[in-house]
Amino acid sequence: MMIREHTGSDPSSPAVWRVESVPSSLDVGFMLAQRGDMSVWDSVLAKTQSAGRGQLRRQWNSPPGNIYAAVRLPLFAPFITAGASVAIGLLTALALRKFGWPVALKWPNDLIVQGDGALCRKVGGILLEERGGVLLAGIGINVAVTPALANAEMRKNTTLDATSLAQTGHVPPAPEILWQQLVNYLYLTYTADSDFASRWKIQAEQMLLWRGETVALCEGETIERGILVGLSTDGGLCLRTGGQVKEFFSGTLRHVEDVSLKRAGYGQ
Amino acid sequence: MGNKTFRDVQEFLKGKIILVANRGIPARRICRSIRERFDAVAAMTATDIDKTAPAASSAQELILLGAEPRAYLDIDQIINKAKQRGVVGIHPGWGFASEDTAFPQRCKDADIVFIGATAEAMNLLGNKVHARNVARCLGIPVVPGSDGSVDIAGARKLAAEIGLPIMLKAEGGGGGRGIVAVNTESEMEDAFFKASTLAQASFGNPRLFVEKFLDTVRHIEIQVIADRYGNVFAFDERDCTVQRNHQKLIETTPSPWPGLTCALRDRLKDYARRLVKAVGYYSLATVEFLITPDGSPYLIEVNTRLQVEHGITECRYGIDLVEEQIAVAFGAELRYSEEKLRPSYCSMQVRINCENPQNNFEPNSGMITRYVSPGGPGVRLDSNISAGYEFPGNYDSVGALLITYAHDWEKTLAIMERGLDEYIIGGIRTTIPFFQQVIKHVLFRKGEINTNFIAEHPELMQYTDVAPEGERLARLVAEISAKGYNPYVRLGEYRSTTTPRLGPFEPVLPPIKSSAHRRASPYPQGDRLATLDFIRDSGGVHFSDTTTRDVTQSNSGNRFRLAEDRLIGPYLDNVGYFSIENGGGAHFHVAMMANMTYPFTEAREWNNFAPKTLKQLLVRSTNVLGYSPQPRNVMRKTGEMICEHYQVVRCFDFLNHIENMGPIAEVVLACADVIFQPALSLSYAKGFDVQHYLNVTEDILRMTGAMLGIDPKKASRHVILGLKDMGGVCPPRFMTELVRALRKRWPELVLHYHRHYTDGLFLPACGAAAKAGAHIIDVGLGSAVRSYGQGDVLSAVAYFEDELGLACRLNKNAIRDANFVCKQIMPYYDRYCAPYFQGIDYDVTLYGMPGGATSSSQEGAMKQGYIHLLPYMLKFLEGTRQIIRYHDVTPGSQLTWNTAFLAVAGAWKRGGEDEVRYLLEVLNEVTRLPEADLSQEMRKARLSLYRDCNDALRNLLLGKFGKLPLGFPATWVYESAFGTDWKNALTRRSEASPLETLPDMNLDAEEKACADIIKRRPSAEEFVLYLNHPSDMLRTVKFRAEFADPNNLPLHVWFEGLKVGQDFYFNETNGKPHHLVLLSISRPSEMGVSVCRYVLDSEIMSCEVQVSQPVVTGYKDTLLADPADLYQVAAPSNGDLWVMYVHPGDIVKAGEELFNVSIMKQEKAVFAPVNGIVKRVLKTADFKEYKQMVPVREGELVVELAPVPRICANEACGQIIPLDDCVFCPYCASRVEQFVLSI
Repeated sequence: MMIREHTGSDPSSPAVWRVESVPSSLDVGFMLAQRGDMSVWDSVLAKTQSAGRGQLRRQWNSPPGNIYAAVRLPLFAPFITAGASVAIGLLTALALRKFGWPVALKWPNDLIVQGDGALCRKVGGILLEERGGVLLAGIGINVAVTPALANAEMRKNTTLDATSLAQTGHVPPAPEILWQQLVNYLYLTYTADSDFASRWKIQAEQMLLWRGETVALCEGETIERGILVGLSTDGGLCLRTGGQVKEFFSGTLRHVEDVSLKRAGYGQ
Repeated sequence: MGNKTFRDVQEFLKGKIILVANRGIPARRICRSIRERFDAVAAMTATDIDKTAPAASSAQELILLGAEPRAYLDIDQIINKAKQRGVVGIHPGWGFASEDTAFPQRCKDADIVFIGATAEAMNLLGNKVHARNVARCLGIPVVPGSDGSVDIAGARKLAAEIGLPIMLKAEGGGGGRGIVAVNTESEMEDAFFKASTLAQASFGNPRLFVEKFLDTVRHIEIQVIADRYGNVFAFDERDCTVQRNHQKLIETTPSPWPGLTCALRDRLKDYARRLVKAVGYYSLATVEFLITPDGSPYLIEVNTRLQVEHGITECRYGIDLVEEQIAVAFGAELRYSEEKLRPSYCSMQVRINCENPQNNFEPNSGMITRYVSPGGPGVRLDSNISAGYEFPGNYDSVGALLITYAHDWEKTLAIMERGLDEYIIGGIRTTIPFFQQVIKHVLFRKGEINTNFIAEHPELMQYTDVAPEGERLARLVAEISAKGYNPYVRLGEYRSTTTPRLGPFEPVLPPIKSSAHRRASPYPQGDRLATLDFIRDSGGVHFSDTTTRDVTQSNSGNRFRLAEDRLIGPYLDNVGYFSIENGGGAHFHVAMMANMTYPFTEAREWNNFAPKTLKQLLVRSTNVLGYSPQPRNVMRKTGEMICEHYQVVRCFDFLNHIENMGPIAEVVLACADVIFQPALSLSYAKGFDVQHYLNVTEDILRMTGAMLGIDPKKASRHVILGLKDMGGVCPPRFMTELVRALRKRWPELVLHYHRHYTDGLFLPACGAAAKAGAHIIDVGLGSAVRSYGQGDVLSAVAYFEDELGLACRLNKNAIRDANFVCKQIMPYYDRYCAPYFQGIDYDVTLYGMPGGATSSSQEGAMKQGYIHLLPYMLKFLEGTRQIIRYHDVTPGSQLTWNTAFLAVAGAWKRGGEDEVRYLLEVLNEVTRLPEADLSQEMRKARLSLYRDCNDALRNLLLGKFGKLPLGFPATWVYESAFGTDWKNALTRRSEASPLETLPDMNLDAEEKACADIIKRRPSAEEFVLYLNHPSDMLRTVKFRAEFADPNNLPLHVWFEGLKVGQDFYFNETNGKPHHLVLLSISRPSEMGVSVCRYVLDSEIMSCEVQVSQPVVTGYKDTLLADPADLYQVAAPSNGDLWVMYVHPGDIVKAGEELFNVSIMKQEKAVFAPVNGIVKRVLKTADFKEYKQMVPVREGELVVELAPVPRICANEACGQIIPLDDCVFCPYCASRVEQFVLSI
């Protein structure tokens, strides 16, 4: 049972397909796109998912009360480059900031709420999937509910605890309403800003979590430590290690307290 | 007998070896003292990294510690080697093991004198908890806190007692490290855990104690020295209040703070002496206090070693603390006493760290390319860097300690300012420019600061860290020379290092007679009515010169620079022109995009070198100088800056929608000395007749009149009406008609005619207009005239005067001189910036493309492979302008061109040239026949005309640009352009000006965004530039910071660079002269990098230039898929293969997912393009199982398929039949079916 709405009063504004319970809104999105019913910036919003997925098919716990959406992105810059993930992360973070939540981006596109002191918690995640010329961004945001960690695997791999928008103290509207506002913002910001394709990287860098601090990028057994310098033109992560700046396109980012040697020899 | 004296120790140490167990600055400092007074042998420890460091040169011997960078902490190894070498004393320096109580103990065991405190004393005073206890026993006030280390419960309890905020400090820590602040109760747990872990890792001791967090304090410390005989000397205080994250940055002595009275000083010294005496301490120590604003001191810690900032005390008293420390260690009696030693100087130290303050003080390591150290009176430098040194990242980031001293605070500050100015460290970022900001700060100079100073004044981080201008320009020249072309001018790779050069640009400039200079302009300035009255009364024809704007915009890609403007400007100024058009239009944008010049600064300079003539600029109605409609507040800001530098503002709108001009008109009309020139965009076509233009003019005058508070007739005296024919499409007879009608209707309205040369009828058209009464004509210098700009001035004057009998009061000699100079400039622009297609094209009267865009649009078509379709595109232009009616000036001309391009290219893609021809036939019919006569077939066919159009055309049809001059086009156009949505589109269209609904921009937020990016406050001009063209303004700011002002480079260097060995003299912006010679440009390395070596003035420098793409070796091993072979399935982009779904032998259907590649959280599924069987799988992965990803490159062959083979029909067998012509299955001998397995 699908309901089709528009995000704005203007019928040319993006359409939202609302569904109750589906395996994954990404799958529904691809199906609709194949039918020709999903244009760029249209989206699918599910109340709950039975097989919600994150990166590399990890499980994305999807209890009702949150946003589980898949929105179709245009195949133009910057979404046509490797930096697509960061670009959509930036837009989403900007939207949430505008609506009143202090959101930062943990590379590449985890949505992080910064709490007191140094505490950071993850409030949303974005996964891009491309099939046959259709690019969808699966966006999951904890609105009212903080899901329990799905299983041991997730706990091991998660570097940050989860939270929800509701927990920040600034009460969010119902997920359907918030999603409408969000998509509207994404759509308007992207279409109105002719400079977005050249400016997004600079804006994204400003929102990067742990910028200037020592971080560790982990991939399997390899760990690369360095200072998070910024983003490369393609949205890759730039770390300064061993005197050089290197670019990375994969791995999980963690924070590292400054325990490296160089401080041990530091004077007063 | 008496105590041992200093002399005794000196005797003893002659020729003996003293080892410094440290590196860098402290090691060098101590080695110097060892050699100076004691004539002893200075030895220094050195790991492999430090063996060749600059500081190592101060030692006579090196004790090598091997490859492990942390070997300085290995005291056993050090002592062993020292013992082997026969070392008599070890000085630990500061940091590393200097406060490790094991060190003095082991030295004692090895019978080596430890130059520092004993283990017991170090333990008593060095351990913060013990020190506090001792202090408390002596009645010395300490910072409220725990008596010893606490656990988290204890911390909570204490926090409740002494009140938040508190600090958790590592018991074994020091030097400001291992401190975590706790502001709220809820933070306590996390903070405790964090601090404890940090402490364990940094100091090997996880224990923490609690201290009250004192705010707005000053950090004051007392240096003491004591000998074994109970003598103690306390020096004057050191003020270390300027800190960041508890790390000291600047230290001064005495404290400049007025609150540090003699009484307080004496009190602190007394505390320090008593503390040291109480534990029987000897050697150097520093007792550190925090002082609250009311002057109450609190002890924080005692440092039982030599400190980084000891140098300022040495400068204050004129002594050497290290030699005294050594002497004391070997048993000498202290030479200092209150009677004999008095302070004389003020002194200050800044720590020159290799860190980037603008990037959170991030340390950077790398090659130091340039090093010039300061000198002169009052300067002391302790450093560990030099030119060519590769600053390592393994140790701390202090590069040098810069100390200055003088009799008073003011002079000390002044010397420091001078010293920082003179200090040049190139190749890495340092804290030098940051300190320059601090020294300048009023609060710092007054001494009215506390430990929060740096944190509370973020403006200290806003500066531009740039090398001297000469150096930057030299690097730019090196880069252009190495590449052979200038990448920043954005003309592609227009030449290479071997292309023959045009040669040096050394223009001959005819002298300007002072009489010509002094002759004033005939045009009244400063009062627009007076200027316009003069034009009205003087009769004859007036002229405006467009050489440096529209002519070179159209013919030289807008690359004509300020540097060349400066050359011809002074001559143009003496011609007697009404105005010189020197700005606006696309010129404004390209100034930043390719010429790296600030356009308003350029305008200001114009008013300096050509002050007599009015300056004119061109703006678009809604966009002003940008590329999208501007909100009112931005327009006001831009408009006001325009009015500061220009006196004539020509404004046009491609729809002639007058409301669009309203906001900018308001701003300009408010300035009494600026003339507003609204312009009619002219086309020559049905509907755009004289009456139409008279109506538009009426609208203009009504609007301007309303703004000035007068009726339209009167308003016609206050403005100029521009007549803008961008394509050169209006024939002379039409101009005659139009101008006559305008002159008749509004006799007092001054008319200014602007026409392009494209159709070849420039002169007849201008003549017709002038004869009919147009007052001002736009012309250019003959030597710059090419196909698309304005025509030449001298021939126009000759034509008007001789043929038409009109007076033209221009100084022809001045024009000749200007021409001569311009003639010498043009060859460079012609060679490198000329448009691809040139020449006169009368057919522009049919297709209507404006001068500037003509070549670039057609070039675009050619580059995309559509040159054969170009005539059709032009034909389409001819037709569509009769359907959708507006004028072909920016952005209308782009719109029309894109529409034509998309329509023709789209038709061609669908059905080849036949389809295109049909399309044009339809267009022809539609424009030729009236609506009623069109056949059903035609009515249907015409809907395809705009089916391929883009959003811009749709927006135009919706009225988003403004009101179309002849109303909305026919309804079928909407059906064609919008498809199924057309009815909707009709309801949505409007005739309102787009500016009406534009909300104001948040200027404060934009300014902050800009400041965040450029790391300083933008100037007023920079901000306006940012609002109009953000990315290009940032490009120019970045370029200027890196390369300075390129207008200092002559034309040939700007385009071609230098030859090796060629002498080049240039001045920087402030006039300072420089000499540059390229010594060599190396062949590009494998990474595509060339090394340029050159001599700049008297220094040899080098830089690396990326001249080509690196040859990526990994590619040799990567098998690329053949894009033409459907059976070869490639990776869609660079990334990681994380799951492979198929195996060799699997049968797949078209559309089935084969594998998935992930790049930065974007997962791309790759499908089988055809049915087939998997022949081979070159890479495989299964992340879920094995947690491994396999990198792949774009285009790399990952899966190879083969056509589906036949399968034996015998179910029990089911084998694949290997050969196509088998009749019987080779495995089971059953008869093979004659058809291929269909799936």
